[in-house]
Amino acid sequence: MIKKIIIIDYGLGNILSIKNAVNHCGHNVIVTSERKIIESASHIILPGVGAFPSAMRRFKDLDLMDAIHKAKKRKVFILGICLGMQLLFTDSEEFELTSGINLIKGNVVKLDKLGSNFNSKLPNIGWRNCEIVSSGKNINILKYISSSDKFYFVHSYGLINYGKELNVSKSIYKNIEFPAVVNFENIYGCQFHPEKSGPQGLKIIKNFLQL
Amino acid sequence: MRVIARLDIKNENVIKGINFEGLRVVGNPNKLAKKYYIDGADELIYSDCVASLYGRNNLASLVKNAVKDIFIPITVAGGIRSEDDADLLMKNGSDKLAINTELFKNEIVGKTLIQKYGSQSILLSIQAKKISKTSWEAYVNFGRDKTDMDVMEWIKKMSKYNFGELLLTSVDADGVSGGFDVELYEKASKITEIPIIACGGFGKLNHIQELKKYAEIEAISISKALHYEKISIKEIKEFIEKIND
Repeated sequence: MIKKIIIIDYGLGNILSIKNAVNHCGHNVIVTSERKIIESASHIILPGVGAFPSAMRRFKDLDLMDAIHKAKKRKVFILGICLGMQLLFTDSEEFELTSGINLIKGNVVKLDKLGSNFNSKLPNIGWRNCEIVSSGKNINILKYISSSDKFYFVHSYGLINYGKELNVSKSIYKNIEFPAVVNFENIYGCQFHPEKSGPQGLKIIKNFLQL
Repeated sequence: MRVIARLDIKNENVIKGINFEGLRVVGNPNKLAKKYYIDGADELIYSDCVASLYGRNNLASLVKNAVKDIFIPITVAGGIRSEDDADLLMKNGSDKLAINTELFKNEIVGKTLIQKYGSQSILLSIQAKKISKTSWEAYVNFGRDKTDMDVMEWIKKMSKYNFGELLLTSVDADGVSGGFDVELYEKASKITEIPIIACGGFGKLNHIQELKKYAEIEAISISKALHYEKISIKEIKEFIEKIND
């Protein structure tokens, strides 16, 4: 099958860097917010930087909910990055409780709620490993990634209350463990920025594009 | 602790001075940036040194070229005065923006940009000049002009906007390679919850240990020692890993 790789452009996230990363991995990519083009994709990347509520508003204003739910049904490969990963879940409490795209069950909450006695600074900014604790099956986009590889995180919220069907690779910030890479069927998410994580980040993007 | 390589740029060259003066050309920005990326820098800062003074930031096209083959976060500083300036830089591949001078004329720009791009993308930049044993004055226009504002007061005043990080530069230590202004960072880290990037003064590895002893610092920004190849990023990162154990 010929690959058709799409980055959804809903006005948020460092799209240029993701595009460059995909090109660097040897693939062409279309940056678009057109429903029709998105519906013909084989691989969809959902970027995201910023706040959950405004991101969802933009996503809905562009009338993209239907397109991405159809993509899930068609078994299209979907990769959400950072906020883009969080949007794939049920809802988030960032600023106000806001419904997400809801491709996968799970809630997004402030990181300090993922553990007790957390008194460190947020956001969690920095380079961390992502295979500290895992549950479920191995996630194939982590192929060739070793436990010493570090990735660039910048976020204040994390995923909680997800189901057993979700494959999770966790990372740790101070004493908080949180999902760093997730996978359910053809849907993947990275809490960190693979496009900003040097050669090891590019490896993950390459793995995704090879699916 | 992250290690950030900082490029001070004037007219498309990387320059470096002492205490922000006597600027000398040290190289080509994207060549140096690529080198620091390959050497393992955690992030890069591109700072337009004359932008505030001339009322413009010229880094958009430079950053656009850099991000073609550099895959680590890039912060741009210097002369960001409006949403339009920010949009242009973000569209061309910047991950974060650091703002200083404009906040003294129009602090709402900080709020506007944080709302649009999120806290994690907008940094509060402060250039601190020591005026007594325990106080510092905030400077603007790349360390050129006084503001009569006390640095700690300014940090407190700005904390309501929820900036993602504080890029705190010591004008006195900049380019001297004699160590960080430890007292500045000690005091600042006690009064704010914002993660701090210490900038200015790095000369040798022990300076990091000294800084770490007194202040909670999330990142250090280094320019001169890297430009003049006094030390490599790899050595710095190995040292940080060692003192963390």
